[in-house]
Amino acid sequence: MFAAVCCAAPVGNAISAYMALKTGAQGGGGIAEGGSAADIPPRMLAAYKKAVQNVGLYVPRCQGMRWPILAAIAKVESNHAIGRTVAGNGDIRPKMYGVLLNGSGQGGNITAVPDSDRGKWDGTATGERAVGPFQFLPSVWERVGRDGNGDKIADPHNADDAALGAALYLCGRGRDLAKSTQLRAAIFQYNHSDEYVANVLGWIAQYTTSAAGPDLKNLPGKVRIVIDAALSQRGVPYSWGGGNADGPSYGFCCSRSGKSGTSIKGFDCSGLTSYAYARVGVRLPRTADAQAGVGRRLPAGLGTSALRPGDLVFYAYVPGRDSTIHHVGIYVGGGRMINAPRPGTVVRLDSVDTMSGFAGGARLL
Amino acid sequence: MTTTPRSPRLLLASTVLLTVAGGALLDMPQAQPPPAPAASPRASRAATSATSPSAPTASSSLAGGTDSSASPSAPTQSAPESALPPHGEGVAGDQTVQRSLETAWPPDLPAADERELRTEGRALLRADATGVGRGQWPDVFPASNQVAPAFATARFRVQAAIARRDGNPAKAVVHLVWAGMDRGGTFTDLRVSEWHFTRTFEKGAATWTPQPRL
Repeated sequence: MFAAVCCAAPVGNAISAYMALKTGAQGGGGIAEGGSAADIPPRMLAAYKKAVQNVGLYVPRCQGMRWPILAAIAKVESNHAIGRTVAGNGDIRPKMYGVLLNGSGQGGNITAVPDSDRGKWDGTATGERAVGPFQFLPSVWERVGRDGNGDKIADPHNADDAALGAALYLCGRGRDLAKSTQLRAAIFQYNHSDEYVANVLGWIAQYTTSAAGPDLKNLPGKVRIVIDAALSQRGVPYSWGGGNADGPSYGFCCSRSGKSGTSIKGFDCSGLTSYAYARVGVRLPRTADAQAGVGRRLPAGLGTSALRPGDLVFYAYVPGRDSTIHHVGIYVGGGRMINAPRPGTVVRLDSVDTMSGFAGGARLL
Repeated sequence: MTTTPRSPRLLLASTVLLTVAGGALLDMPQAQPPPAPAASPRASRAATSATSPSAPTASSSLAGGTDSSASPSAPTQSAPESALPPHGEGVAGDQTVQRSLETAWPPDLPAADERELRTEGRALLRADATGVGRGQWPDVFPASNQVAPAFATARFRVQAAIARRDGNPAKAVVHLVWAGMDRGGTFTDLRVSEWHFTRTFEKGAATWTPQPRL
């Protein structure tokens, strides 16, 4: 049996070859670009939430299904069908097709999969290709497809139907998706790749934490001042070398690739933390790796659950080797940090579990 | 605000004093700590000065996290960000990432072993992410002929890789930093992955065997 629901990567240049990506492809930042429910087309988000409500009718024992799980799958499979039209009944047009799985090698398509639907869903009887926003193979859809929008047709090109089918597939015979091992197994079933699982988990974290604002109640005075100061800079642009204890500033020229902060008044990651901590009289070293040497270090092994609001949060090429730290943010609680993520972005909130290379934290207050 | 011009005589005296002091400091032995062992949660900071020469020495004055006013005299004006490439830097930053890995985690394997492991680690990561070449490791990828690529081959790139001992001489880990575009078209770089290996012997010959990850 084909291991995964979905199918092949794009041909050659993935963007040009993969219809689903025509208008939805992202820039160079990926997860570092951020993401929230606001970035999901409302009709698609409604489909995910509806599927969560209804999956229990088919798999009563399934627990822990949440819309961020479905949103994460749809994000990595089709970027929420962005660029397509989603009708009121959930139909997505033009239809979304993956590459023909004929083992030609195009776009990483190395497996020939025989036709199973005579072209009913994938438009070709010469082979198989994945379909719809959740990129179901027709053979898998045959097993898990359900009618989610009440029109008595289970159509993988319909947002409601596809979301419900994905929910059923992930739930299996009654998984508890609140348990990390079962959630990982469910995602791995969707695509037998550890990196796929890591990718989806990152988006689940991002969507989950973006659903609620930071709760600043009951925080110690200095912690609240630091977080308030950083939050007040939301929307200020990233500037390479920019920002200091006094606030945003013009940055420097240039990074290796030529990114310059000289014409941008803003913050880089450590510039933002320097500014926020200066509000309570703490002068931080200028670079992210040097800031890891201040205060009480929280090793990466403790996990993100050890973080408290106000802690610095670090990311490294090699977690545990602090000289490889390349990013820092400030934990605000609820699994989120305020940070200046990268050139081309602005100061914003992100999940601490989304970015790869979590390298622990530092408690200064 | 302008500042008052200083006396030339005072400047000359300061220059002489600083020269003497600088020479004395250069004669002093380096106070860098030895490289941290692999299991240490704290890395050597010796590399920091190489990658971010403007970074002031981290202060321990806040250890315990109380009086923030006693913190180090960090510059009040912006200093260049650490030379370590941020997200989105592209191929231009890969060499710096590679150097950062090598400096932070010094080699501890025979060169031939490291080369072999690094090559295999890169190929394993590629196989897991894109599906290409899975058939080479049927024990790691049981469904090797029936895989749906999670990442496009087109923009897949290993940015940096090192192979090091993993606790004892019979184990090794390949640490990789990589970039790729998923099926939805989202490209992300600075992804961190590790592949673990054990040394096994077949007919007297040693070989490194990758371990399944899940």
